[in-house]
Amino acid sequence: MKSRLSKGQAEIIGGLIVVSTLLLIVIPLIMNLMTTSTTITTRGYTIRSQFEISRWSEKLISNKTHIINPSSVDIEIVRIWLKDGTLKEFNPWIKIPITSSIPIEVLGINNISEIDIIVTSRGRVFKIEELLPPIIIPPIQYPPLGLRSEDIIGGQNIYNVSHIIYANYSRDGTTWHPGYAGFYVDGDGWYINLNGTWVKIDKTGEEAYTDLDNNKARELVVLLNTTDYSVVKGGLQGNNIKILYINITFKDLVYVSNITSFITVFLKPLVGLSTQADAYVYIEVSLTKSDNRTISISSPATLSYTKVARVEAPTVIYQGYIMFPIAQFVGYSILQQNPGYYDLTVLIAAEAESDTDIRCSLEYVGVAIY
Amino acid sequence: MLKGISPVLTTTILVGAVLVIGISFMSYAVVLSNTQRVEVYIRSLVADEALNTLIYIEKDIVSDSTVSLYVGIVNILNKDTTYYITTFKTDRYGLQAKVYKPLTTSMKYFNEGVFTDLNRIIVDSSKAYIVSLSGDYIPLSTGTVEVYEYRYRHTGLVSITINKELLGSDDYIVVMLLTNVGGDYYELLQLSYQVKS
Repeated sequence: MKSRLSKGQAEIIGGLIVVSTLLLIVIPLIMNLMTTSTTITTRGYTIRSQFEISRWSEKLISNKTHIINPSSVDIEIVRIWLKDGTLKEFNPWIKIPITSSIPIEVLGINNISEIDIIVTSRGRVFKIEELLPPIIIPPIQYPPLGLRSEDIIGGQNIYNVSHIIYANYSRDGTTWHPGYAGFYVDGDGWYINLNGTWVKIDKTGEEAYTDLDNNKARELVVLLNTTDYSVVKGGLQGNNIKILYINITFKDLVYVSNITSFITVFLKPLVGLSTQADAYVYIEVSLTKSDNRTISISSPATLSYTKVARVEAPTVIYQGYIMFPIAQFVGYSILQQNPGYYDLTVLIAAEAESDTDIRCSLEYVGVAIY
Repeated sequence: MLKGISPVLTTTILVGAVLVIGISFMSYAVVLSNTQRVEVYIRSLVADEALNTLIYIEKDIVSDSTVSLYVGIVNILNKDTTYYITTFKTDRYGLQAKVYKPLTTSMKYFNEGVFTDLNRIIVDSSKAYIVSLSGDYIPLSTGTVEVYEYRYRHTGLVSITINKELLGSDDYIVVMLLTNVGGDYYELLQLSYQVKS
């Protein structure tokens, strides 16, 4: 019985020794291998991830004279391909630090349009077209709608506009640079530049410049003074209504000869309201002979209407035109028969509920004479 | 006396047998472990090399008769490394490709302003391994493979010119980068390109 036990014990002990040896040697070996491979791969992924982040952070732009790096990483230009198919390699690479720029001459070229591709050290390939600001082709503007005052800067080639009066939007403090069409002198009134001479404008009220439609073009004439209002009975539901009435006269603005056949006036009046109420607006343009006030023609304006709901108050924008077919209509031909300078008067009448303040302005007036 | 010797002999024989079997198993385990170690080492080496390498098409010029691909190679550690480049044509894009047909090309590298011919090596395809969809390395089995030896030196631009007559209308050109480990070539990276008709 004892002998059998001893034999069994020896086998078990022997087996245990072998199994223990296997476990002691093989398992740490395998564990070591697994750890090593995992460490190598993890390190590789970490480095690659960092590289890819830097690579895709690279960005280049150009203002045609410089290559600019607006990105968050330094960029090194390895080589450039030129449009003629040649290749320029740089040794050392050309470095553009973060938010810095290099003149294009550093790349050995005189004109940015010579470049086809820029290659960076991180393997980014920039087509030169990606660097340049997009070319925006302005939409074709048809007269008279959709125009802004600064859009009409000449006219002979488009509308044959012989006179254009508009307020420039780049006012430098209280100083208006010579050459601009209209300006306001504090306490003295409005002036326009007519054939190189500053001429004071007669109008019924004067206020500081504003930009009612917020299009960054200052308006030429603004009326805000509440004393210019007339409050009368007769509004809707018996309420009082407020009427704003403004006459803006540009003296000696239009010269009519005995062969003048057609006069068109383009204009952009604006009406600002203090509430969301509607206003009723009437606009009329008159041409009156400067030295003989009895010779005068007038016509209501044909207007397009846009209401812009702004936070503080709505603004009603009108753009319109008035045509005087002088040669075609007997009533208008009086101008041909009385050549000379004519004053141009724009009448704006606006009517709203009495709790609504009305502001009125004129962004531009253009005259085309045929 | 005989009664005493017999258990000792039996025990000795049993212990001996156990030791022999144990050592055999241990040797087998060590051999197996070594094989695994080599495989793991190669895989890690290739994976590490692939992670450190980037290839991209910098420019392509297609003429009536040839396709020229200018392939940029970047070693992100800026390490001087020898790569082996080969080209195939396949009917599928990327890893979906099942059949790789060797493509004869002319390969040059750009150095100091000029393109210079790369050294061409003919390799038995059983020594060239590509990555299968399952992630295993499988031999190419295309007979022989032309590989071009490119010693990366911080610039990394290779031009590959292929005769268009060799390409079908739906074929993809595969540019494959390999690395040499112990005389065998392992795929690092590949990119696919199709000629726009």
